[in-house]
Amino acid sequence: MKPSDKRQVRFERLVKTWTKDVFRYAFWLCGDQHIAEELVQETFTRVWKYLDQLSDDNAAKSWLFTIVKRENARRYERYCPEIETLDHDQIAANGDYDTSTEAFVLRQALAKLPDEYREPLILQVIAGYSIKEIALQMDLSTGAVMTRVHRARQKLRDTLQGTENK
Amino acid sequence: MNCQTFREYCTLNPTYRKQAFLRHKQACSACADFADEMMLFEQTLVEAMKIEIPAGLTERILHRQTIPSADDQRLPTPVGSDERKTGHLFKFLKRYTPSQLASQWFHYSIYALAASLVLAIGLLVGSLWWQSHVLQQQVIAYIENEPHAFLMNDEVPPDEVRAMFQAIGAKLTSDIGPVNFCNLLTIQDYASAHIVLTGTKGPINVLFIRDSQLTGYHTFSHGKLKSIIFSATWGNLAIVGVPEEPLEKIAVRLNEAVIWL
Repeated sequence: MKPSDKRQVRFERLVKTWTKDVFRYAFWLCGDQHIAEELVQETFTRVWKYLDQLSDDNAAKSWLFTIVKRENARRYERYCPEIETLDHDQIAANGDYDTSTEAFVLRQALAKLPDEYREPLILQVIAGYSIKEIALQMDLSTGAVMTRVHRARQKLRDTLQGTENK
Repeated sequence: MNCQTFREYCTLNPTYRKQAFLRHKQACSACADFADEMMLFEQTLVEAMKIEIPAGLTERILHRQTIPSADDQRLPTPVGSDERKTGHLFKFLKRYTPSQLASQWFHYSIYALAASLVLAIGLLVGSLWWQSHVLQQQVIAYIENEPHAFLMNDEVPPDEVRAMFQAIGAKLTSDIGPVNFCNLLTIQDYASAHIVLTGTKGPINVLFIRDSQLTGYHTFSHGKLKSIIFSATWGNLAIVGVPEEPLEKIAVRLNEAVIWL
């Protein structure tokens, strides 16, 4: 196999393995399906360009998430939209979507969480990162991550319980 | 592990699996109930975060890598000596006698003329490349949006094929072989016809784009497909298939088989 073919195969494998997680991470970072798609496209364009710098495919997840985060930050440099409510019609257009009231309330509450609480929680739930890994990814101490994740979860639970009590 | 530590860990991550944590869960029924409650919340949270990816996103990502990026198309920085910079013009003039200056200006005017010519040729080639690039992208995008065209195995009745060509002001003068799919469409506002033929290695997509003005002969590769777009008297003909197919020969044969009314 030619080196260019090997590169192509490697790229395709990365795209097929990680697109779903990368998209979800991007979606919960920006709160909009179309912007998330653009972020994912930009991320993989960069991956294709700098693929040779990734020496170990096991490190791909962390690399991809870092690129998504940077791309999202670059977007914020240009324009900073405030996420207030999610467009449920937009995300419900796709098949496997939980339509329960709890899920609806949680999505809205997630969108309203401050970025510093939402991001570590997304990394924990979507990427399956441990507290230590989140700390590394976000360049924070493990203590700070624990506090943020704890508060994020607490806020979501409070919102959910508040709805149930009404 | 005591109840308070257990609940802190549990709140932070209900899927925590350390031995001390699990042992406490087995030993304390109140904490086990708390853990179940947290686990239920975790499941709801995981489900709420599950956003399905838009249809075709993976394919679009794989497609996009074949398009050159803006960074790749960036022009190199021109190299210039100090004398040529505007701020140094006076210093430059002082250094030479009038005859030397005249000779220098003559040389510079030749360089300027040559540079203008190179620029004009560059613009022409660039514009041609851009036109062909845009057309090629539209052809590929159209074909990718007609995936069922590749699945059609039944031959389209010859009357239907003739009617389609007639609709874009053309007529078949000879047999072009079995057509498995035919459709009318518009590419860049030009009335066009799309047919799919059976090649020796796979389906061959052919687009007759009436009145399209792209000049010359262009070949492209797109993933595992090769495409040719060339100029005919009536417009452009685009043909897409696997590289092993003799696409050039087929293109010439098809071009000869169609007359335009």
